[in-house]
Amino acid sequence: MLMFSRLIARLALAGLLLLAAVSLRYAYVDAGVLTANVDMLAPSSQATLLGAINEDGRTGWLCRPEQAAGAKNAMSAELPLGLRR
Amino acid sequence: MPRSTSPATMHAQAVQREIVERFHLGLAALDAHRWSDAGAEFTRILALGPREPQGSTAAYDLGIAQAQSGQYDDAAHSFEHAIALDPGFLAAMANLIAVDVSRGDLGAARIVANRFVTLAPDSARALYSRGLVALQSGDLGAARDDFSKLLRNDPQYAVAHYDLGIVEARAGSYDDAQREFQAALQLSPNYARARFALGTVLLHQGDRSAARSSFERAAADANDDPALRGLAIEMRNAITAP
Repeated sequence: MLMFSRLIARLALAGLLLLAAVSLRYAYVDAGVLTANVDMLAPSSQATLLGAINEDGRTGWLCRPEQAAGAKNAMSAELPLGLRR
Repeated sequence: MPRSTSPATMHAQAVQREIVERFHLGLAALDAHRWSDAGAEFTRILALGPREPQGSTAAYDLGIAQAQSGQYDDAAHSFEHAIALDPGFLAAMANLIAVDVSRGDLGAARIVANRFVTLAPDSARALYSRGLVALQSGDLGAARDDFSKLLRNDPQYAVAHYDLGIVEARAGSYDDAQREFQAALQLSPNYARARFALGTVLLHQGDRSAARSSFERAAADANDDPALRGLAIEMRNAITAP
């Protein structure tokens, strides 16, 4: 009877240790993931350079770079569109 | 141009013809990605002492040639020269910010970005550039203001939703971040970075299953971005690890 009780106690202890180990593993994985994630979120990329301008200068309707610089809409402003990334 | 036999006038006309011809050569060199040749043409134009708007334009084009060949300090100087000659030159400001960021001078980029926004308060490029510089500098409030205004002007711009989501995530406002990433994905369903970021926020909020799905989809959508794809796969696997 005494041996049986000891066996039960040992099994229970082993089970508790196993449970603790598994929980610790989960906690370890989560902590690693969560810590890494905050730094992993990078902002979008800078816009590419606006193009060259001819000898007539930036004023007038034909100067696309200057129009893009002042545009209210992202597509007209030649900003990154993020369709793939 | 009126005809004249005055030597001074004829000289001025010859110089002007040379300036125009060198503009054509320089622009053709830029088109062909011959940055050094282009730079030489615009440098020569500046040496000829052109009137406005040709002086500021030559300095601007020279800045492009220098930036494209990785000479960021020289490029910044050229764009600054263009702006000094023409203080309202928005395209030069836009390019100067990009060059300042490339050479790691966020302080200088921010000064130009402030001026750009002052001159063109509704410019998408001005708000986007200043928002990114503020975000990279850790000024979340200023970044939030710029991306929010950009979105009021152009609510369909997925990238601004993504960047605003980054701002909210860094500020610890995960519900707001989730809403912005979802808005970005609604506008652009294959936007892998936004999908990855959504997975991150879902993980923070304890929704492991939804986070895993997001990382799975981000990996599938990031075929043209091996680094992001690898990271998404790693995250997906980390969630399922016992």
